Amino acid sequence: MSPLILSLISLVAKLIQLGVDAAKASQDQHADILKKYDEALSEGQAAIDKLKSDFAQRDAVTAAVLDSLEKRG
Amino acid sequence: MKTSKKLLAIVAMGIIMSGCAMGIDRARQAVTAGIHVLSATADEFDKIDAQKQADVIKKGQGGDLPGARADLKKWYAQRGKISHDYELAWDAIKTAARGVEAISSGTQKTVDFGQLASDVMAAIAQLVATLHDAGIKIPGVVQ
Repeated sequence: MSPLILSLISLVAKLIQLGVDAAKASQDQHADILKKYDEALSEGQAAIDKLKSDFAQRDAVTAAVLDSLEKRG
Repeated sequence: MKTSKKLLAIVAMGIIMSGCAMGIDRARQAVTAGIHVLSATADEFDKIDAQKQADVIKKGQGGDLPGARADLKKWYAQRGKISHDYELAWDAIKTAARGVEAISSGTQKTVDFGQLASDVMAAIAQLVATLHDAGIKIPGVVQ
């Protein structure tokens, strides 16, 4: 085989190894990543729910205060 | 001819595998960065809402009820826009996270991670721009 083909094969082998290593690392980290994602997504959703609940409570208090002030004239 | 076809196939496979590895990393980074921004935004957003509503009540108690109602209406409009962008960013993050999970767990063979990462970053950029327009600075987030 010509040196060009040999160096091409070597380059391709390196590229494949890079992909395989990354895939293997990804498999190794799989459980850890899924756990972290689950936690992060749950925390994020809880933060949104709390925010909505806080907003609704504050809105009700502000509306009640303003209405009461209006009634008092 | 046969050798060059095989070589081409091997080269393509190597590039695709490397590309996949880079794409999934980019999507993971986008998800992590997105969650960081949203988490910081939620804390600050909550504090600012409390402050704005306290200011409105103070203004009303000070006798300027029409002004208080106008301020409240303006804040609700800004808050609604921020909440809308926040939820869009959250949806983009959830979609990207599900894509990473699907590939990691093998339930899906192909996912466009480049697109998912771009969607997350675009949604976060929109949220940051809306916060900036509303004059809200989020600690730890460059605006």
